[in-house]
Amino acid sequence: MAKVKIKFFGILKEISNQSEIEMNDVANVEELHLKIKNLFPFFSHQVYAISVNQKIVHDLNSQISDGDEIAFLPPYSGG
Amino acid sequence: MKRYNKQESVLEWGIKGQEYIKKARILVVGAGGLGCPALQYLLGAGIGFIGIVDGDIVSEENLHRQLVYTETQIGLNKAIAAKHNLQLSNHEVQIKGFDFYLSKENAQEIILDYDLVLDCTDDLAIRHVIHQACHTLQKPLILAANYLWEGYVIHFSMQKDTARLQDIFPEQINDVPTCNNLGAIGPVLGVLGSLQAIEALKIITKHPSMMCNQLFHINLKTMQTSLIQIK
Repeated sequence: MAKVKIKFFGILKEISNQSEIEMNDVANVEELHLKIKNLFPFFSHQVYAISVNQKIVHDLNSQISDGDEIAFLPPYSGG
Repeated sequence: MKRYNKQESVLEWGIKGQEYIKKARILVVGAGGLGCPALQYLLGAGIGFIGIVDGDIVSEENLHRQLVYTETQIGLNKAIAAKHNLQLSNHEVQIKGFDFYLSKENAQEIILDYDLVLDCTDDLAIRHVIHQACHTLQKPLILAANYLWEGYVIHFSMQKDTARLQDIFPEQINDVPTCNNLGAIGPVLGVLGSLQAIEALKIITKHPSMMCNQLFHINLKTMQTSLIQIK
């Protein structure tokens, strides 16, 4: 099981009150996503993309490896 | 021409690059916090023809970040006011102002006349409309968006294997915060709008872009950046 670094961007940083956390024992993106939603229930009301090692993932079954860098990116709209 | 000597002196740019710029037609949708700096740099570079689309009017609370406008223009349409002021800075550039909002109904008709589009709007729904029109017409699109100290720029190539906006964010999202309800820091928007202008100039002068089909995220508070592949 992998240990990963997770970054939060935009409003997700305000909701979680953290810009970065570490998480242990995650095998794939779906599992990590569920753990994050349990940790920060307000994430369930938000829309965001998830990237693994600087690549947006579209398949929640994507495997996660030790040392991977995950990012949660919500849409911004200011202009 | 003396005016462009300094950018023509840049080796990878040269006189050829300036010729491309003079022939280019760029559409800037939204003449607010992102659009103003983007327009100023595109105009300065000598883009041949610039279109500006914005149905909004200049208000006093715009002036801290939308530096194209003057106090005397409060109440005027932004596209018309921007065209007037920009034209004073560079009379050689042809500028057309559209004093209404881009919409599903008019997007393709307007975009058709341009080589590429800068999305400088502040509404996710209209961003999807612009994206769809650019995708249909195969016009490169450079989008920027801001959240307080953070922002991102995405360059959609609109070529065969282009990334799509819906690959990142679905169309049906409500309540995405904008400058109106969050606040805005002028220079943060200045950086993002300038990045859009840089990407546009790279496309026009046929330089490779590291941002093509990628999302460049920047936090101007922590100075951290990320380049995220969309597809």
